[in-house]
Amino acid sequence: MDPIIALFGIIIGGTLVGVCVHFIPCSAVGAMSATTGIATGPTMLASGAGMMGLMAAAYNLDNGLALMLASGAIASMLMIALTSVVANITYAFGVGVAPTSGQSEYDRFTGFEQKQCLTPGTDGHGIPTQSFISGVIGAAMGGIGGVLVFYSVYTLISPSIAQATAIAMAGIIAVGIYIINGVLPAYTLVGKTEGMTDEKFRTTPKTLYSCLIMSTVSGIFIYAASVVI
Amino acid sequence: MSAQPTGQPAANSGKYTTTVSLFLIAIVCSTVAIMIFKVTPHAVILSTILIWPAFASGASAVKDISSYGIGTGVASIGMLGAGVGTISAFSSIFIDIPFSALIGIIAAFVIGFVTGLCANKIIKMKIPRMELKIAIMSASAAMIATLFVSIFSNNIDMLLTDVYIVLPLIFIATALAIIHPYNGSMGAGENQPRTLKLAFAEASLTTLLFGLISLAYTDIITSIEILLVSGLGFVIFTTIFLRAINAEIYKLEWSGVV
Repeated sequence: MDPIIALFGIIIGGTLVGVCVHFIPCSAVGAMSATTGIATGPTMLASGAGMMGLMAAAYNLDNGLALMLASGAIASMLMIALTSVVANITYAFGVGVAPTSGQSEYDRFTGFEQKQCLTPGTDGHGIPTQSFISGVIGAAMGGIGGVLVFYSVYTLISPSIAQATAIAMAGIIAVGIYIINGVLPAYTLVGKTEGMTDEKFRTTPKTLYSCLIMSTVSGIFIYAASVVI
Repeated sequence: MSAQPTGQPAANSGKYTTTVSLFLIAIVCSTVAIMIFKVTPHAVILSTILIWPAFASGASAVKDISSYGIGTGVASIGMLGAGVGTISAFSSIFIDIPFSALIGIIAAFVIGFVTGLCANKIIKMKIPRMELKIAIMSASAAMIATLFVSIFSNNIDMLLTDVYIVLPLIFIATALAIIHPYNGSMGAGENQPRTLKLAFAEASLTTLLFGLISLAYTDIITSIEILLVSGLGFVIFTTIFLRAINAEIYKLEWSGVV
């Protein structure tokens, strides 16, 4: 990969990571089944999915970018899907609530009525189908974005150091960029979202611009440090 | 174990120091620490002591931002700072000019400032001087990461060996050391002097950890120097921190759990 293309890889990857956070349903108060979403912060959940993708992708480093992107996306999707399923099992059989959206009358995909399952005083609980699908789409975007950053950084630094070191360093730099771009959307979401059906999804352009600027600045520095200077 | 209740409201355990002042102290100390280590690795005792203010500076910046209630938890803002700091510090390894470590710290400050600018101007978080605080946090994390990277890889050739497995640890240890002082102290009665005492205790604990790991990679004298000074620092700062707690709490009772 050409260094300039790698720079654009970091920028596009970082921006994708930022936007993916808007798709992943999560909420801190979800731990009390008081809102829809997986019970954790957006940054942590998106970072977890991203790291999963990076680990899977690193195994395919010698098999080309396409396979890396695919394995990264699938690993991230699996992570979010399994987390959602296990969370739903806990909500249904442990807490005793049905997965319900607090913001939609009907599920956008199954058409099931949501309000009748909603516990009074809460804003939804669990991960209904629409949030599940949104989460899986977001994870795929995050996985692809993370792998793109990882591979781009790896391409930039690998001529200078040994392969094992380059993989480790590219991985940790990718995680760093993942976290930076995961925190900015978390501020827009204020720690809670139902996914792409949430009203806050309309704030995605703010995230897009912020992450684009952030990724550009970070990418230029990494590019300058490893190639120019 | 118990302390006598004083019946007085919690007293502040010291003087408030602005984050900018702490940062200025940290940047001078850290620059000296990194330079000393580059010139004479056996003066690592001084470098270890001089890097501790960077932890305090980062922890104070985390406190300043988090005390406004950012809605995503203290951990996320600290991870952001550590993320910016470590990517700048790690990338600066590849810069092949003298004082490249300083370029990494400056880059962390700039990237952190831009992040804060995005958060305040585009996302409209409206937290006063957030740009500067994120920049300080990021630069502090970069200073810490730079010294740790220097300890394990005094020159770039050493990176060709198996030092790379320490890199993720540098990232997460730096993040935890700047996040936890405020996260562990927050709540009613939290005050900056006590938080900083915990920051120094955690700083020495972090350098102690890396002193232990350095046994596997550097010469034994360097490791022992780091271990000795960090261990001593940890005992001193933990004692000071516990004294501050005892002075400020109403009453401490042993619950019998531990």
